[in-house]
Amino acid sequence: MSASVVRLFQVGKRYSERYALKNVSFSLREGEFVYITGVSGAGKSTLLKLLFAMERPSEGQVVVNSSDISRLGKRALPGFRQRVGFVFQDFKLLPDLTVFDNVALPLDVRKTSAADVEYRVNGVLSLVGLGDRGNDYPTSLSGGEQQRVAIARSVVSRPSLLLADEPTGNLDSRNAREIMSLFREICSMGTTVCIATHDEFLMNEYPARKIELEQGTILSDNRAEFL
Amino acid sequence: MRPLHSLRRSFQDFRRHPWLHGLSIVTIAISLLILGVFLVVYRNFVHLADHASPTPIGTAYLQEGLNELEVNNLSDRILGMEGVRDVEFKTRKSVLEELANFYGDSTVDPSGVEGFFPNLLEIHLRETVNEHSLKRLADQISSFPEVTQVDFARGWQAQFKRLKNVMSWIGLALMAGLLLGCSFIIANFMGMRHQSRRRDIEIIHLMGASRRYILMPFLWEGMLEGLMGVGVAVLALIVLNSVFLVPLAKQWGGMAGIDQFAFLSPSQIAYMVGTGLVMALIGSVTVFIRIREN
Repeated sequence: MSASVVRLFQVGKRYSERYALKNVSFSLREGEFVYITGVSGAGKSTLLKLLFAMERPSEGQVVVNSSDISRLGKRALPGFRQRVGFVFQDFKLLPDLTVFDNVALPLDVRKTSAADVEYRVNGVLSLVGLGDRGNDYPTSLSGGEQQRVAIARSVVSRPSLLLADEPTGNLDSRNAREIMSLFREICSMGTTVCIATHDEFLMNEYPARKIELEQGTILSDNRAEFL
Repeated sequence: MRPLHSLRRSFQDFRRHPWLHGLSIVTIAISLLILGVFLVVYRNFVHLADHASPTPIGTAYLQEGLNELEVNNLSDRILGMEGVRDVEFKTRKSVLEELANFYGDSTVDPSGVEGFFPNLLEIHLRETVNEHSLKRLADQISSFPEVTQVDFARGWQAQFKRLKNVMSWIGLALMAGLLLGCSFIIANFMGMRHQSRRRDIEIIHLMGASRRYILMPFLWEGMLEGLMGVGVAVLALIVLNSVFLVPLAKQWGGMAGIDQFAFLSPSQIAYMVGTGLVMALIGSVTVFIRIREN
């Protein structure tokens, strides 16, 4: 059986008096494809933020790639982020950098050699179907293409865990399908993919383990179906 | 991280925010120009003062009615004193002629004011004479009965020394004030740039960038702005020198016995470069603090 990449144990996240997450426990295996689903305000984004160490749990334990988020110091945070990819709903691309430079950013902060950057960036750009758009600027791309750039950027450093927060939320159905296929392809290469979405249609079209949240607690987890 | 990459990111920001960078450079340049003008004035003040009195000279005013033998005897006694290089007797007539020559024949009429000037001995001192031995020398010469009054221009020298000290302090205060004021302005410009780049910084941070990676371009920008500010200020000073000081020296320098005014020395230019860099660096440090707080 493959090792756990993510492990949550009785996790709670409280904002003043209100609980955004309460008593959440689950684990994700290496190469697993998982949907975190639920209505708006169910706690999907908070959960992803905890997994990316953008937030600290108020209770319980979150372990990602053997790092306990609660104990992660400020100095250890960059190293932790370099092993986890995150795809944002609003893409978060830098408009003044070319597509190539945007994708190269996670490698650049890791002091990767120029030759290696060239090789890996061109590789992931081909993977997402933008091999010939490296010199373009994000503003000249469509929404779907921008999301592909964001995905390329999130996987270029070969993370063991890829998190995506509503990655198809701003896309039409055709682009959404292409993006989902891309996630499946990335997952097939051994990366654990965790997508927060409420798009039932896509979840049915690309079936996978589904953890459903309601008011910050786990309502259902069909893990057994995909073991 | 690769320093050249962060330098490239700095240049990118120069293209993105030309006005903010331009304002910072102009602020640094103006402050350094003020400092540079002061340094030039100070240098010329010292230069002129040194030129006006290369070696200390004193004057011993003589009693009326001394004969040649008595004057020679007194001259020999003074010449034998420690620190005295030469003694020259001047009659009231020769002093007035010198004055007339200096101001031009038409302005001074020696015959009209002859009665105001006594005969005198001009005492040329060695350069090694210090203030203490100057006082002793003046006391000794004053005690001679043939002498009515001794003037070693000690008052003027003390005045000059005081003025030099005051100018040094003004220079220091000016530098400190400029440093503080400009650093504050530059810090605000940098703060505005930081604010405009907040989203970018946030994204880079999410990509796993360390604080050093994020801060390096700000440091480069500070250094570049500082150097550009110094460059502009020195260029402006060179222009000011050729437009004002060179013609001024040609027209009036002869009166002070100089051919040209002194410009900034290499050490003063180095001083300005250092000041410019420190100004910009203080601006960068405030960005460091802002990022640290965030």
